Amino acid sequence: MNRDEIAELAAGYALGALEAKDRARFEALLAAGDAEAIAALRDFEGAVTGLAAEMTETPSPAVKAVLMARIDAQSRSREVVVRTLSSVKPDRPRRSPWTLVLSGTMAAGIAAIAVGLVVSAAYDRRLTQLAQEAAALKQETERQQSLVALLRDPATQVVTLSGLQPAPGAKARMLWHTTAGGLLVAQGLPPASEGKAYELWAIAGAGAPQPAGVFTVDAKGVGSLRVAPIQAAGAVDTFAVTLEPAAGVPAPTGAMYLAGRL
Amino acid sequence: MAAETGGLVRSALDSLPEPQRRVVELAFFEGLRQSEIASRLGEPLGTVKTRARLGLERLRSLMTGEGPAEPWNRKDEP
Repeated sequence: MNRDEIAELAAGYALGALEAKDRARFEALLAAGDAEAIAALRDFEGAVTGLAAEMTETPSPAVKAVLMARIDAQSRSREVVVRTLSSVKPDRPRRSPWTLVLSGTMAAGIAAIAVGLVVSAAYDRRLTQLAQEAAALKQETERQQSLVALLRDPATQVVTLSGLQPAPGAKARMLWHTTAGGLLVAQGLPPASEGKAYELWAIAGAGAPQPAGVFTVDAKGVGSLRVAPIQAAGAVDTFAVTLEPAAGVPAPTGAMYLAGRL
Repeated sequence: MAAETGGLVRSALDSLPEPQRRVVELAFFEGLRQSEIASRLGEPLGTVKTRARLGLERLRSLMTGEGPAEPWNRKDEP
């Protein structure tokens, strides 16, 4: 087998697109420790993990920029309101013919303060909402950064999960790192019925399946799940997906839709 | 940084020659086997295999910024 053939097998293997016969040929090369096969696969899996990352949603930089500009503008507006309110100081009532006029002025001032407080409250609510949006964006950015770190770590492994009888056309890829956790990207799964969700299980050897999170899929059958590191007695070597109650269960009870081994 | 990385992958994918991009997309995003891709595109199986290899080589090169150092990174477009 020449280099081109080995590289073509490696590319097909990394994409999960090899026929059974070719897959067996390539796995035999890997098992035999063929250096070219191992090197080619490592390189191609790097490209494929990048594609897996592309399947997850990434916030648009333009959207972020617009939101941050809105937050900045709202903050400036609020500062104006606060300065205006702090500059309104009620006068002490004085015993003079102008008392009535001053009282009227004070009433107008109090009314202005009341209006200002209402406006301020509205700004506060809006700022709270924007702060929540900013926090969500920050959380998403941190999630994406952890994903990039995962992709760049040479210890990250790629696991292919195959569809089982309930959905034989389904498939998934798991990027797995023993200490950093992983990312599951699934496709071809039927949308879960009301009150149901897919649950990922991590299995170490003959140990009991450990729950690794629940996820749902969109109308196209695509879903993803960021997985935290698993506390297991040994090294996790198998992943499976079952259909369970939406809140998740501590041990699998439903039909298995996907399964794959490291 | 994450958004930039996602954009980088999409940009790299978009920059592939159309025949290579189609093969990579059909394999990865639609989960087709190479023989299924060959049938879908009406191309010989060997051509599909070569395009998959060249597509991934180019993706990797674009994503890492590395040159064609490995022996399988040759510019023999089909």
